[in-house]
Amino acid sequence: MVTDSSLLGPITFQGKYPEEKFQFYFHQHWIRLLWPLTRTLLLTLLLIGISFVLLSGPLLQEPAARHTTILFLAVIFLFVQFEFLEKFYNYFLYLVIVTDRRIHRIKKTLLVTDDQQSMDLWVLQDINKSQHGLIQCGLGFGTLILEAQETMLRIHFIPRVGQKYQELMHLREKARKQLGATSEPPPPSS
Amino acid sequence: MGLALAIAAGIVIVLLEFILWTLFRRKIVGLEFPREVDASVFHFFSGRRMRTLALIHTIILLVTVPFFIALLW
Repeated sequence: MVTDSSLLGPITFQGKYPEEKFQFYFHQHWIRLLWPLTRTLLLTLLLIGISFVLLSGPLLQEPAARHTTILFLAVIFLFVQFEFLEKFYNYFLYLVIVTDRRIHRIKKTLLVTDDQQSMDLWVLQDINKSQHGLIQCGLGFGTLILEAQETMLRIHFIPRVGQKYQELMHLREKARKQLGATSEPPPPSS
Repeated sequence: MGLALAIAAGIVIVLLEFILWTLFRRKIVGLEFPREVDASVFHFFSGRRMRTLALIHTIILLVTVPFFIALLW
């Protein structure tokens, strides 16, 4: 999520070392929200249709049945809306931050998840890009698979994945050159 | 009875929106960055705009659900 102020001073976040330089960050591709939004709209329309059919016709003349139906429909409607709202918020709580030394994947949800995975760029042995299907190739998103010695990090729904792939390769080479140029080893990743 | 339930529904909506927004704000602390370094597809959503959208969502639900209950009860 962006701030309302422009770039001023060093950017910091949880887990960043002081000597790391922030490069860029990104959320997942917007298509992650497309199905939840579509489902919410379809269910809302369905609920409106059911309400119209049940409550305007002669089916529910009995007050108890009518009141129960109204309450049931209202609860379902609210559940559908708040479920989408939760998914919408969770979309902004998943981001990938790339610095000149490490890549950080931060994955949070509103209640039950708070993960952060960080990987040093210089130890990456393989950086693979994967795009399959018309939709991924057409919209330019895909998966990056980052492999180190005993670790693999898969990041899905990366927007402009080709560009990110090139940038990560470039940053990895820079990190390795920087490592070769300094006498002391970099701090271990958390 | 219908009016009382409509008011109760309105209170539930406001409470749930407030709780979800508070949880979100607590979790997003430290994860808001300048637009210049955002490599996502859209850079539209800032903290202020998210708050505005949450308010609009609350108002829409407050208008539709209690109205639906009160009118059709």
